[in-house]
Amino acid sequence: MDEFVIHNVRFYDYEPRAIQCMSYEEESYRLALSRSDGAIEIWNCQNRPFLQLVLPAESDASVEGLAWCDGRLFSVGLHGYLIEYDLSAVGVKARYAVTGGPTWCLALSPDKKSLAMGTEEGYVCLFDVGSDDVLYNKTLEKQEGRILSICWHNGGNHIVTGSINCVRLWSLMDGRVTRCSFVHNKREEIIVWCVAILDDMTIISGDSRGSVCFWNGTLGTQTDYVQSHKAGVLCLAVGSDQSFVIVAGVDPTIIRVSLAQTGGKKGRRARWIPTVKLRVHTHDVRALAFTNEGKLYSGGVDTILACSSYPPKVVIKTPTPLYPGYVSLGRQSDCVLLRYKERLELWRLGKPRVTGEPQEMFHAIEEDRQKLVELHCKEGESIDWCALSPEGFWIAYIVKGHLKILQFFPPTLDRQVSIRRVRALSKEIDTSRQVMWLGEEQLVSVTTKGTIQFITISDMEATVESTLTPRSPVQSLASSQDGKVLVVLDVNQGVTAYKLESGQEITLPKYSSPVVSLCVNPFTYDVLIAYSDSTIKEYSLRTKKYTNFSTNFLPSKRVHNGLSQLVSAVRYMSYDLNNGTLIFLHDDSSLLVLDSAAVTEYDDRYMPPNKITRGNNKSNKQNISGSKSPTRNSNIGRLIAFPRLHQVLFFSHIRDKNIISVEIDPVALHDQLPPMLKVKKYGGV
Amino acid sequence: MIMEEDTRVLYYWGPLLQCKPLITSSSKYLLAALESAIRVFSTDTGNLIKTLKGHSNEIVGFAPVFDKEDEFFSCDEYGKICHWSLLKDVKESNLMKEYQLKSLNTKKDKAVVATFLVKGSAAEFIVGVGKDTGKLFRYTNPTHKPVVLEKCAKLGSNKVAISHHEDCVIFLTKQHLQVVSLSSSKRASHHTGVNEITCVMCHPSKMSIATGNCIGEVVLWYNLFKEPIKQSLHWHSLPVADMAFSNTGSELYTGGGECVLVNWQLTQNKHRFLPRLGMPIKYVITDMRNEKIICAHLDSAFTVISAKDYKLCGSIQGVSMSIDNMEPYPAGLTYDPRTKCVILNGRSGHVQFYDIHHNKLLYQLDVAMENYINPERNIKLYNSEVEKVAISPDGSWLATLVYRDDFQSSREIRLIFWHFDTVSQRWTLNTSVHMPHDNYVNEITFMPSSKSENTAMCVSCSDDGKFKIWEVLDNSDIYKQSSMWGCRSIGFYRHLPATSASVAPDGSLIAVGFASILTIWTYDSCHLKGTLSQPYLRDHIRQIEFGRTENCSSMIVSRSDNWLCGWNLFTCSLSWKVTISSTCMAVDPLSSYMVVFSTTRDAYIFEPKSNLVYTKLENINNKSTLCAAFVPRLEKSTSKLGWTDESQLFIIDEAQRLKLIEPKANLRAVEAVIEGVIQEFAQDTVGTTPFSTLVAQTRVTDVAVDKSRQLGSAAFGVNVQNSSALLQKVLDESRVYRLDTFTTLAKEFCKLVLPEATTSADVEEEEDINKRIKKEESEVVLQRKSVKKKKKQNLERGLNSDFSGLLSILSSDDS
Repeated sequence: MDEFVIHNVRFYDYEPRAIQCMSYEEESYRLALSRSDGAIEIWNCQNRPFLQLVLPAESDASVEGLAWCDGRLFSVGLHGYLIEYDLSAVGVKARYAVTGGPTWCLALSPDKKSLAMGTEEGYVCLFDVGSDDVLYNKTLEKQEGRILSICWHNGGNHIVTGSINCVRLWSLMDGRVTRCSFVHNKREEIIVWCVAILDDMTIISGDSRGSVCFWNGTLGTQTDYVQSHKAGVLCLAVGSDQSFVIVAGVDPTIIRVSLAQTGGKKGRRARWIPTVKLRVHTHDVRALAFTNEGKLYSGGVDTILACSSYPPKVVIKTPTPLYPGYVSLGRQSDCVLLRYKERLELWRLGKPRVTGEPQEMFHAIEEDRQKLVELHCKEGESIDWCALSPEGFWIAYIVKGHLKILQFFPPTLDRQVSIRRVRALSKEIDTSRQVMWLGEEQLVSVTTKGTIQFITISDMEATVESTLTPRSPVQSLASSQDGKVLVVLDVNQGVTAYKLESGQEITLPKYSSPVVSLCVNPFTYDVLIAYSDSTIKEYSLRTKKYTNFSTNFLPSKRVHNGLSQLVSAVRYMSYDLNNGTLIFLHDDSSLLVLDSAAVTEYDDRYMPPNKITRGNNKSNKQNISGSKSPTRNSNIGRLIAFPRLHQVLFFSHIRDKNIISVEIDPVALHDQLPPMLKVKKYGGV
Repeated sequence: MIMEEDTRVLYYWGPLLQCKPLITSSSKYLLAALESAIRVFSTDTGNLIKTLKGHSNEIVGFAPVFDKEDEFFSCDEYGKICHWSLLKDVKESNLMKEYQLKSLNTKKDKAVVATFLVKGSAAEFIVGVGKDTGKLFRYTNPTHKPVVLEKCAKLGSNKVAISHHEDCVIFLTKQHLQVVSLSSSKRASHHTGVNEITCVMCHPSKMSIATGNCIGEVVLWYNLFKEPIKQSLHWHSLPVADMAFSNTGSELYTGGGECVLVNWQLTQNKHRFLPRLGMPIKYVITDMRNEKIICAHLDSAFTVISAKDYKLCGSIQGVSMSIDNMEPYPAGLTYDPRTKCVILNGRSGHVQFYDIHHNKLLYQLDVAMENYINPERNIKLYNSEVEKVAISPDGSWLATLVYRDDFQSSREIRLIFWHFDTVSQRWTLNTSVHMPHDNYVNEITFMPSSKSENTAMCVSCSDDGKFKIWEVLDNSDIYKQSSMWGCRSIGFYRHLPATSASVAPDGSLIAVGFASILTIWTYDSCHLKGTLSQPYLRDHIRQIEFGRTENCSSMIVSRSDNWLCGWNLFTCSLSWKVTISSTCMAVDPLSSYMVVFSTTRDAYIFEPKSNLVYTKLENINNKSTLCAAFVPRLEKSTSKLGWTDESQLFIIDEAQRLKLIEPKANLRAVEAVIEGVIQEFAQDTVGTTPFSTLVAQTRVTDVAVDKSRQLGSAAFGVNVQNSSALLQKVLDESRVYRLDTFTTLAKEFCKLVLPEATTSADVEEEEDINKRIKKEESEVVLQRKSVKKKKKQNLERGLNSDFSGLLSILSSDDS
């Protein structure tokens, strides 16, 4: 194997946002979560959780409640609208105004026919979910104080809401309201952040005192009280058999409160008892979702999505991965385009001083990295996508669905950097949500209508060359290096390959797990697909079969190797452009290199992957602080893993013998977060 | 004289924590087991009310009878169960009934733990047999065969709990917590995890239990017969020693090594603390009326805490006994003449004054004046300990030695002098000397003769090879009269460690043991007067005592680990010696008697003037004696035994029990005294001629004087008085503490003598005399040879016969 120079990009200030609320759909294993900037992420949790889709935030976006209803996603926010999303078009489908202004909470009825939401002014609004739309049903009697939390009883006839200083139980049939009041002193009000109701009409509420209260719903009296936390309880989740609830909040300890029979001879009495404690998060936990499989998803201010289960105690933490369309490479150049919310930055990577004797782990830098261009969009607008052409001469980006194309002239000895905008855009170009350069002056755009448009630029004029209409809406794209093969992943997890020259369309076989990432071999046009159960398959377009490499070596359910031991799903894959034998892939915490040539030579000889990993640990540890270093991995076959301390956002091969790895330091990320709850610890800091 | 006496050993005090104490149902009495006796204390006043005696073996468990006031059961290690009632109308005896558990009265299996389930008249007994792990038996009826509940349960106090509410037993096996129902066949077993459980307790009214583990976590278990629900309460960082629920079950009290009692209010998830209880908590006991909580501490002290306002409201304390101390009572027993009590180590860094006649703790004096340092989870931390205590004969000065060595940093040694302020009636700190010696101090002792507090004198000796004489110095200034202690002089000998020191009763001499050599020093000038040693006495001298009364004031008794020697100060020779492996020795201040305790747990009373044993007390105890003291009686004894007329003998044994040893005055023994039947115990005959005795190896001063006399009697022209004066001059010039060998002395002497002896007549006479001298000398040599031979024989015989003779005599004694 050749030696490569790794460019460690650590100047990218990627800012993940706090998780605001969550909703889990059991049928499709999908978890919707909203971030504090209003963006909604759809995670697929069928095997290893991975980010499937991002609904970008709008300028006034605010998400306070999320609900799934038969694959449809609804949200409410402080803007006072109920929003239905179109997941295939990645956008808002419809908005419905809610009576009572800013809306704090959303709940779906157990029969999945109605939505209830609580508002600032004290109204509870009910909407009926139709087959294609949502209809306003009624508004319940106005009550004092804002409604912060809402929950629907499994019988369907009762709604419980949490307000300030009280919890109310609404009977929908007879319109009666039972009020459960807290005993409190006048100065300090008790905010009920979360409520739930069990089948036996036990109301559970979590409040700003850090306590969980249990109420008899029919009588409106408090039956039990657990002071579980030191600060406000923000969220609770009810266990599947209703024998326990899970609570967390400003005090980030996740506590399971279980129902225990404690009575004696004189009469059995059930009591709620805090039992299992889980310290996963460092900051406020804002949202919890408990699945029927016994998994608990939790997220909060520390931006980490944690998946835990008990017993036994297992915790998997997933940091926020890079959203698609944030980092774009000119793979023939040495430029990288970094996207921020309101600006783009084009950087040229540094050059190492190669002495020919790579005994040191870090190269001296001959020429430092250079920021070539910084592009800002108009105020109030945000950039949704960006792409850099392979040679690095063209930049395309999307603002509010409108495609913008720039020609870029890199600096030379006698010339400054200059940029020219392509102003003549053909009217046929539709609003777009995703673009990709196939080559210089040729790009492909996924329109909001679901079609794929091929756009060429000639004489600073962009025209639509052809349009392709796939059967299902497009989720993501990949192309070969020369732009001759385009591979499309649709929302139904079907993968279709298009040979652009011949117009041939090849549908790839389906697999049980969802697709995480795909790429095309630059020479053989083999399509490599990674699935969320850590299976990777290589499909040859020529023979229309899985390749030898795929069937013999690549991890599948039968064969386990280093890949299947990864905790998180593969985030991104790419082939090397020199021979197409190396595959570069990464997950959140490690870089992996797969050598298909070495495997085909000794495909029977299985080398234990963890041994290889260990052998490379040493050299890698010294790598961490350096920006550039060669990787010494000659003569070692198959899969090489480099565990990294930092979170790996992006890892790919660019030009010649260079690899780029975009990483962020979790400690630096932690420093950006607001201060955490101070808890006095014995003997600790 | 030796007598075999039936000794009567009176228990005075011992550790009260062999099993968990009990508060009776009226919450008036606290029951604590002291070996086979039960001590009943009043919880209100803290006084000892009575001692119940019914068992003959160590008690292993108590259990209350719930529906009868002040009735309870107790069980000893051989399965005897007594049913007691403390009600006052039971006049004759508090013992109501006795049982013997079947198949437990054999001597090989000892019960370790016992707990009972008492319901009205029917009682079930759960008894564990074994050491750390063993079988757990269930007796539904004492006379029936027991049912084995578990074959290898963990045994120990707090490890087996019984739920009175649900009729089930909870105990621990290697990795599991077992719950066995007694009324049905239900049984459950739960994994306990990596942290070892230290104590188990059942809730009084609910089906839940609490366990404490070695990392200080308290876990409440619910749903015991199904999937258990566990609630964790974590405040302690050291292992939870014990816990107790309040009678209603709404509160839980836990204690451990932090000296803090934690009150968990289970319904409100709150907890409060009662800190600084002095010593680590061993047991926590609650009563049935919710009035009192009693913490039993490691030093056998009990703290009574009012449950209502959660404050200290009293304490019950006998002799403070720290039972987990590996080397207890380093300072030994010291008699305080002022208060007529004994001084001994109390809590760490304290000394306690215990009135032995009235069985009452007077007070504890904080000597180290440091906070008690709790151990950490995996580290033993060292506290300053009082290692030596001495009190001046008039009781006005107390010298204490505080020592701390953590084996990491440098040692801390403090010699602290306390003055008894007669106005405020308390001990006040007078002088604290930091690092009085460079190494461990082996002994501090006061001069017994000083009568006023300003002439007091103290001697300390240390492993650094020095002994120091301390005296009261005047520290008065214009503001007030005051005094302080200072070091007056330092003595050392051959760089040997000074292992023991003693001051003669008249204060004229100091005897210091340097390793195996006994040295005699003058008090006034600190001059070495003589050294006494024997080649075969290789053990370090542990203890030196002067004879106290007139008839034996010239005797010094030195004790090493294997020898007991009596030295005569007049002849500077060994007058007797005895091989005995001894642990300690004590001197009666009012009579001439001394007592030495052997490792074979016998005590020998003797007088220093001879090696004859006055009385032998056989097998006084089942543990060897740590320290002993004679305490003068308040009233004269009427017994005719002699040695206990003036004083009583108190000892502390290795099990930390303070005992009074008093022989029974039976007729036979008295007759034996009158008849004066003398039996030799172990001796080698002491010859009559001066040379036939085993002369001390070096007798520098004596030999020199002898020689001078010989020269004088020869009278060959040199004035006898002159020569002796010359000799005196030589001797005076050489300092006592660095005395040269005799040959060098003789050289000096000859140099002085030679110029004076020159005339021819003298020469003739000299020749003549020389001949006579030679003749005499040859005679003397012959005589000496024979003497040497005899001596050699004697020595061999002595060395050989010391053990065999002792053994044969001992065996004949036994028979």
